[in-house]
Amino acid sequence: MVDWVTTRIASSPEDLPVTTRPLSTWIGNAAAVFSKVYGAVTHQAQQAGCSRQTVYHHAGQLEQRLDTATRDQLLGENQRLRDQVEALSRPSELSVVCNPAKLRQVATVAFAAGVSLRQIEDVFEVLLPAGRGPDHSTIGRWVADEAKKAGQVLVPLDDACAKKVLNLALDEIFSEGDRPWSGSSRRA
Amino acid sequence: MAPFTALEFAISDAAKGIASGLDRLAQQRRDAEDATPLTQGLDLFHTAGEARTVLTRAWQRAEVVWVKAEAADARTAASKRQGRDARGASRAAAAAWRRAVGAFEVVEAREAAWQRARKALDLFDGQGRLNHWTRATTEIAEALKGLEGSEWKTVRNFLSDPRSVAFLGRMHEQLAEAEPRAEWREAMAWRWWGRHRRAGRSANPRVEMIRVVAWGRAMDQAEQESYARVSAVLGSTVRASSAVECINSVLRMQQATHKRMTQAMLDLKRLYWNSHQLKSGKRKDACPYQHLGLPLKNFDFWVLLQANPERLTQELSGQKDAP
Repeated sequence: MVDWVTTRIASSPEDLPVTTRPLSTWIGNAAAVFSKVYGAVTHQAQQAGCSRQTVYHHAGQLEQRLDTATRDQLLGENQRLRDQVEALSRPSELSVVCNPAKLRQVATVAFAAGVSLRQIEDVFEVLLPAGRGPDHSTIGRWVADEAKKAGQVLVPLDDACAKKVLNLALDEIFSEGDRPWSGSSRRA
Repeated sequence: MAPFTALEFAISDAAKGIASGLDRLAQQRRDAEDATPLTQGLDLFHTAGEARTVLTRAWQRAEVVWVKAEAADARTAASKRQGRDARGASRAAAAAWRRAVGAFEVVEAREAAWQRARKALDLFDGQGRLNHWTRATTEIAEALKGLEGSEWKTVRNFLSDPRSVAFLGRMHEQLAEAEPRAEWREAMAWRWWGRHRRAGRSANPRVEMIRVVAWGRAMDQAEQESYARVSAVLGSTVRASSAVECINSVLRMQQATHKRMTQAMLDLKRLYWNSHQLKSGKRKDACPYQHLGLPLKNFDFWVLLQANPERLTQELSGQKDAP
């Protein structure tokens, strides 16, 4: 049991109630008052061996002991943390799922749009933690797999398109081997 | 080319390989007694591009001669200022100016001739009357007289090619089918010209008033239907396509980016661009597949790429999914 009289708290001793009774009695008295149960104060006074007036006095002093401002601050902080936990547990609209499937999709779309494998690798290095991004050979395999699928999907699509075309603009482009338009190319 | 069973009109540059392929397709159709017409047209995009290039070079040369004439003028002025005999410099300057003016007049004449040929390839003449291939051919023949010189040879060849005016013959055939009554056809086409071609204001106020009243007049049901048919033909008449050159430039850029371009990569890029929603222009907010009218529920590139080809075939043929 803590002897309240001999206990000293150097930081703010003036805030502490000075009493000859144990702390548990103080808390019990205050609880009886704040519970607002009929007869609780009388019963507590009998148990603690003090007057009902003392019980009320202890409750008043304990209430004063609690710093109201600090309490409000703590309640506010508590609420803020609760909100934060709730927000973090809810999937954000701006969050991006960077699982392997999504990375594969991003790589394929970027390649189809004209971004090179090395550039895609660079972008992943920016987006993902160090060493977690796929290298360009992995990206190349992903893209090659998806490109094979494109060939299969295009069979029915081309068939349906060709039947609908009334006007057609035709052109030819060299697409085999080296780049003949490149300045370094011998064919150029 | 065999899968293009409904193809009626194909335009291209003057490449012999493409023309040969189209000839073979036409022959195959004749052999199969397929009555679907197939007309070849010369893409005016290339004709106009070639003419622009030649004109730009000609103007640059004329400007050089002009600059030389200005320099000769400066030399004359300097001689006079220094109190020297300026008669020789003055004669040289006068000759330089004659050359400069001559060079400018030649280029202006070439440009005027090209503009005449260019207007001969419009759907309408300046008065809003439908252009006809006979008129266009006559106008082009006149314009060609002004396009002399070896540098205009390619443009002359393009313009002399009957395929350059093939779109006019096809347009008239389609219009006759859409609206058999000649007077109605011409009236509806004139109205379409007023609405779509932003005809310039007439200098004659009476003509301008007639135009405003006629174009603003409400049409009855029969007229509306006739106008819709004529409008559909005029709106789908194709003379040139820059789209194919745009795709080529995209492809060239990407081929330069990637070390190797395989057929599978081309397939991937083709699927991407065909399902890519256009962001601007008159075809914006839809992808090429949508513009062509494919009966798909979803045109998203990734969704299409992950689709089962068999289910896609079912969806495209309008069949219900198997239970």
